[in-house]
Amino acid sequence: MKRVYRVAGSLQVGIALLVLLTLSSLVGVIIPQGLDSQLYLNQWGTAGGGLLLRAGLDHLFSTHWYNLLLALFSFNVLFCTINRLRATAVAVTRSRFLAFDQINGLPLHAELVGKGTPENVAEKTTRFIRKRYFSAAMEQGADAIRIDARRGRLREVGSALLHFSLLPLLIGGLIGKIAGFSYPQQLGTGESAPVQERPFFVRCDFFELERNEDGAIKDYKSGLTLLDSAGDTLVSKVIEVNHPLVYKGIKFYQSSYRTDPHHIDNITLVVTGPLIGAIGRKVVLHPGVGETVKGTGLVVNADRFMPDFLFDMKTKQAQNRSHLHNNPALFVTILQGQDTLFARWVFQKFGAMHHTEEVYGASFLSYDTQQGTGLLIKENPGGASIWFGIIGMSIGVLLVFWVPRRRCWATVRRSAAGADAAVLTIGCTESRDDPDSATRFNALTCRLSAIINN
Amino acid sequence: MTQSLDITLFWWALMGFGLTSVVHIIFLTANRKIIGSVATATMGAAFLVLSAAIAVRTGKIGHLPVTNGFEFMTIFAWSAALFYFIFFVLFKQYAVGAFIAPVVFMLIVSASLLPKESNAQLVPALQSYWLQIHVTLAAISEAAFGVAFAANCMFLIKKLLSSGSFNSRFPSFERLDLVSHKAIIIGYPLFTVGALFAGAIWAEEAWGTFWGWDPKEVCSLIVWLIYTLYFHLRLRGWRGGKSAVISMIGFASAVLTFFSNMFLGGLHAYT
Repeated sequence: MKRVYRVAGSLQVGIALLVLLTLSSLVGVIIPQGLDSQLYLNQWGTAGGGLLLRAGLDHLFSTHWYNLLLALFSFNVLFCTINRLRATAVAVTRSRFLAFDQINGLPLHAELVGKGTPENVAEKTTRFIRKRYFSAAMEQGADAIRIDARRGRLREVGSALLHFSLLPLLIGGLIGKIAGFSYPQQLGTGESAPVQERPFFVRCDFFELERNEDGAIKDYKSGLTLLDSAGDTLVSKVIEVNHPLVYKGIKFYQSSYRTDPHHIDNITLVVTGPLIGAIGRKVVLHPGVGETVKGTGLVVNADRFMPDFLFDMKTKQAQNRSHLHNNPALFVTILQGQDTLFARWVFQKFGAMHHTEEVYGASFLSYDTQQGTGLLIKENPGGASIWFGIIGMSIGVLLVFWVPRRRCWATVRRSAAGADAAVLTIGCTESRDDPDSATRFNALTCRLSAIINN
Repeated sequence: MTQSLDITLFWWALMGFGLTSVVHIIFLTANRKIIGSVATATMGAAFLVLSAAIAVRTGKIGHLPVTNGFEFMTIFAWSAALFYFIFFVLFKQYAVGAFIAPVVFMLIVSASLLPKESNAQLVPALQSYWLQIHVTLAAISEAAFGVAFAANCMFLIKKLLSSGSFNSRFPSFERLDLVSHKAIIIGYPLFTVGALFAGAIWAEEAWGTFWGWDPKEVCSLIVWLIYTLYFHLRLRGWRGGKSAVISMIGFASAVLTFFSNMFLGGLHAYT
């Protein structure tokens, strides 16, 4: 069991898993994900496409084997970090003093002779080292004073933090996948809908779509109100892309918008007739709501709208051909009390073609399409865990790579040459990647030699 | 149609980087210190002109120019040129710059091939301060990987050349390995925090998900996995040529990541 644990947390297994994750992720990029099965069969042939579908390569990142790879990688990181935890804790918290012969065994080491007692030379040495951002500890040994100086202890902490924080990151993602929910919701102005698994409703108070002069979308925003089951307001906020509404763990994102082709508003008509005058009068009305023409007692109504009107000659019925606004038509009525003075379809684009000799008339000038908001309603119970992972890994990666690490050991003992001289043996860890380590060590010992002989 | 000042400056910078690349190559063949100094001076001039181009464009559009391929590639080239000077200060060797300069030139030539229209008005999803953080850090980190790539190329060329006077003008294998390693040490944390985490936080704010397996996200993950592999292989003793090959694969993946949204689509396909 111990052996399995050691192998599972080994560097070799970690490297193998990194290679497998890289290659399988690459496959997931090369093969387009989430398309219709038939498209894979058409592109890769029946045999190749069938194999691809059976292996789940069309939805690779949600397959069990890819998730298993991620889980194995997490365990590898966890075991490896636990294995190293004790050594890391000891390295960070405890000083380690080396004996004279151990220091002489280091790749970078030197022997210097200084003036004064060993205590005096040791004191000068630690003061010099501390000025170079080393923390130095000293102990009196049986035959010599021993010094342990180092910098970059945070690097060890960073390494543990970097590796450990990967786990909350992945666990958070898993929790969100299992226990969270996410669904789209479209709402027109004034419309409301219940929020999944919660005893409250979301209402769209308004939706605004701003466009640039070239017609491109500049911005869109929605006024949202959350209501409890009694209809009381819980919270209100204007949301935009990048600025969601957050309430009790549920987030309401501005994800899209809709333009309903069959619902229009702010209809502008020009009505004419004996009581109005030959020039006519402009009337702005809302669908289904009668508008009185001032000073005439006439009421104008617009009941039905078709974006792409077609008159079927066989059935003699008006029909809508498509959702496109190719031939917008409105059924307009002009009433005087109970009497209907005008009732017919009027057309925005080809008004002159449909001109009639009736006493009352209406020209269809313009209208606004009714827009609605497109929301994404989401709960992610793993969000806090993901945040913890992101912050931990960010701090960890910066500490590991940007905090310089170096360690020096020294012993100071009385010189055989006389009572007023001490021998300092100093050694440093060497960076395997840095060919200048020796040059820097020589410069350090030169300065140190000058100081201890002063 | 008159050309805007930022684009005029961009073209001047491109010519400057072309010139400095030529001078650097002459330095490699002639090995005269004065030529090395001229090469660094021309690099400095081109860098300043490109900085001015970016500043003018920032003033014109009201935000850092990081919203389309041309702007990203320009920041990418600018960052690589900045690393030229950082590594010049660190190592004081003209020969290292001789390989970084052509990389900067290639990046700026790539930028010149892309549409140069500026987007003063951003689409709603891009109207966030995370845009500047995410894209700028991604560009700087990838530029650091580019510097590593230049050192890797130099390493492999030195290895392929038989010993001779030209070969001796190259820095030692150990130093080239160190230049590459230091560049990756700078780039990797920036990439992790800027490209991956800042991107994830922004995605959560804009799209409602930290991670959506979008093609560009997966490509960035691949880049991160390759450089993570690079560090772990070094723990196993990989140095020199083998290490250089992994680093070069990493940089190639980073470049592919930049272009991925153009041919793979996805949520990052704004431009």
